[in-house]
Amino acid sequence: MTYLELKGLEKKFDGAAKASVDGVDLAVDKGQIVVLLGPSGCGKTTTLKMIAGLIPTTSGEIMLDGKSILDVPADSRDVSMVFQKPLLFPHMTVAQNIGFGLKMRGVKQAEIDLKMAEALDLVKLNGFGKRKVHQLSGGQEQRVSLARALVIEPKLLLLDEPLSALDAELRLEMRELILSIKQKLGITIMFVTHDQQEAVMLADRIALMVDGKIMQFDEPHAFFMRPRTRRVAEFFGWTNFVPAIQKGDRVTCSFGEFVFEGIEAHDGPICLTIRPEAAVLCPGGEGYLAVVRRAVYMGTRIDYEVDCLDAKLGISLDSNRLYAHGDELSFRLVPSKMWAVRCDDKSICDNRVVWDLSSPAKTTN
Amino acid sequence: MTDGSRISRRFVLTFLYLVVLVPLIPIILWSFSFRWTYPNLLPVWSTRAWDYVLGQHTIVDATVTSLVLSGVVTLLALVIGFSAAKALGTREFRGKTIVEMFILLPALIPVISAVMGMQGIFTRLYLSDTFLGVVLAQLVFALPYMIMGLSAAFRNYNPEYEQQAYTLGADRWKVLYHVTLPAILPGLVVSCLFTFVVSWSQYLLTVIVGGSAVRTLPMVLFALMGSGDYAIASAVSIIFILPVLILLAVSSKFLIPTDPTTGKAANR
Repeated sequence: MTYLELKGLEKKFDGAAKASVDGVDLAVDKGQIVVLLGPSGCGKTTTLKMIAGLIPTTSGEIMLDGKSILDVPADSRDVSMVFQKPLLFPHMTVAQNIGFGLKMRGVKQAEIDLKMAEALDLVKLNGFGKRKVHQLSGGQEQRVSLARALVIEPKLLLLDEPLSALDAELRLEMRELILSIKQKLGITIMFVTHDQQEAVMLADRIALMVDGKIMQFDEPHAFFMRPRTRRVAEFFGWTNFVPAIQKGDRVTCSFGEFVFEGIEAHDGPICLTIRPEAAVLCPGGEGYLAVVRRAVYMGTRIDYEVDCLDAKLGISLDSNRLYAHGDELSFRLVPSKMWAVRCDDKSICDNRVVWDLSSPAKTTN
Repeated sequence: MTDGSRISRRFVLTFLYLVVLVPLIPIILWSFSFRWTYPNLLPVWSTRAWDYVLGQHTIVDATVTSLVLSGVVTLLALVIGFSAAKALGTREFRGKTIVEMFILLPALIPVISAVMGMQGIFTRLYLSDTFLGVVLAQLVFALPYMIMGLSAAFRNYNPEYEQQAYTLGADRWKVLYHVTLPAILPGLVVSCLFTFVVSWSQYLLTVIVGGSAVRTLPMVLFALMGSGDYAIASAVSIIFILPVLILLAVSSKFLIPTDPTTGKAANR
């Protein structure tokens, strides 16, 4: 059942040439984590702040639990938000910070203390209540911030890149914590990040946002299995794009004909996309013949840029054998790691390898 | 903090105290003197000046008037200047430098060149010779200090704290009281102190706009100095400087930077 719904949500800042958030439609079920994923400046934080009521909308509708919340001011929306910085009030103790929301609601001190202790337990900071804010580490601060947002039992929890300031190990720990809290409380969460890996780990569903528009709203694996457009594919590590023609569910190009089950029906030019792992060496020589242009040694695998037929490809092969610049190799393609995507605004898909084979210093040619 | 820098800081502080306090010593001595003539190192003691000053209604009244006037001016400057200071301190916008210059202008222009024109307009508005008139006139010259001081305090302030507080259920006034004011308190206290002192030592403006209706301490001080009685002028001077020193002492805990690891005043 839809719990949070955005309908045609739009934000155009004064004096801006185009809308920062441009007609976003999104439906979130209760108890789900939806991750708004996108490059910086794509409008994801603006969307979040509109839901929180911190930025007025230009047009569109926000429904929470069946009611429009557009006219509800931020302080009575019961939508709490954790920012990129922990933003703990520096003149208060940890306990006072966590109790802030309850105090604003006029809850009695005894009850605040009780709930505060529960919240500290939830984020695994038992006994930290009396500490001053400046005595906490970065990770602890963000956990207190999370506890402060949760203790008011919000209808919706918004997280705006809350982990991006933490180091890798802490980030992992915090992801686990967020997942366990979601399990325990059954709370609905909207999480903003630019980190694809983080999105995949946390999300029930991912909304990929580019230039203020949702490109695709789907389960995480769908972005790896069947991206809808070229932009989405590029964002999720699809490397090669080869011009092709689609007819029904058949896609034809210089590499042959491929059948993609469940692909959106379309007749006409389309872009065949190939993951670098789709290539498998076949020493017999019955595969596609290619000439190595560059090779980058990656340890367990080697990334190659090769010329093959009329296209340039980026492929990633097992490192049993090292090919150098000019060597010939033969490979076949695994169809399950290929797909066909629309080319966004361009009508003709140009052949391009969108990975960068690192710096020239690393190459072996 | 190393011992070396502690000692040098203590030295600087002591030096500053001396600079402020040493000139006061002769004044204190004068105020308790009957006569103080050349070869004598110390004056002939007397409490004559103090008897006179404290016995005078005009001086007591003028002190009260000055306190109320400067208090009102400071408070109004705070209320009026707060939003401007916040915008200047936390936001970037086109023409910001020009706005800042206009706000600063009254502090740069000599009072004497503005006050005559002001007096003409105030007379037409029936504001001259009134308390309100003096408040308004002083406000013009006090606001730059308040706004510039406060905006400096806001420069280190992250307005995201307010957004955070809104989402936790605090309305505008609660945010102001629980989040914004505590965050900028030290800067706010200093700005108020500055503004108070600017208003407190204003002479020309009060004389011309207030006429005889508003008699502040500086006016009495000038009159007594003109009379040539050093003892009395010294006593009034002390009364004049006393409230400022008291305010400074009370607010000093905001002026000394605190040590972030202990929360206690640093370097004590």
